[in-house]
Amino acid sequence: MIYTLVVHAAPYQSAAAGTALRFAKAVLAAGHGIHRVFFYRDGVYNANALAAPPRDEQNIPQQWQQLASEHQLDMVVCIAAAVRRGVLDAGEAKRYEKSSQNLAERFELSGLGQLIEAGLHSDRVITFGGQR
Amino acid sequence: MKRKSVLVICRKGPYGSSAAREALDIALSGAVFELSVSLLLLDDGVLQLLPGQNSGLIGEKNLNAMLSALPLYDIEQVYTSLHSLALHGLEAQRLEPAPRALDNQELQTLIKCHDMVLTV
Repeated sequence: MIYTLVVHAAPYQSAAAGTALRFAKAVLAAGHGIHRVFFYRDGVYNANALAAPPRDEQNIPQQWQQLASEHQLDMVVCIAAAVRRGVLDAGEAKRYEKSSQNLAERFELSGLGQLIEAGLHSDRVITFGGQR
Repeated sequence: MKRKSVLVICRKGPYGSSAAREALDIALSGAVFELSVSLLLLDDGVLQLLPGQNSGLIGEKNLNAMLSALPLYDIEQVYTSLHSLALHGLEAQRLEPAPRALDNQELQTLIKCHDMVLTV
């Protein structure tokens, strides 16, 4: 089965981002495919390269990156939600004249259309951390 | 191919969080893809439909304008539940746009008949 995951929650404040990550691992381990992981609302903080949790705690942004490199995951961050919250790639940092970029590698900024498109190509769309 | 359908469910009031605006953004994106989009506002979500919101006082953009633009995007029907209306003592016809109020059975049917359900 082809899945799309939608992540609405930032790591650390709630369990939703970690749950999404473990769900993604379980889906892949069971032999299913993931068309896309889409990060929306506070979920964009999963793509913050500047997150520096203590070494003895899980580093969720890094784990997403690792999973993406192992399985060629397509990880898209909603550009409007991200720019509003200060998660920028090089292009957006330049456009808004900000001093730095902080979008972690393997994540990509794009529009909400990528969520809709993913839904059209997936058997299941699962939302994590909605309704907050 | 049959047009795929999307149901966007939001349970949050208009300005307590970014949920209302960001749910609308999903609905509008679905409409841009020419999908059949329905919006279901439950619990505090039904408060988004209150007319005459004066959100400028708290520095927020007004939702009324965006909601009344829904028909322009072919999002013709907004739904809520009888329970949500009762929770806030509201009548559907006093809301803008006026939602269709569903009982529990109809809610189940609505969710079941959509290809994609997104909660915000």
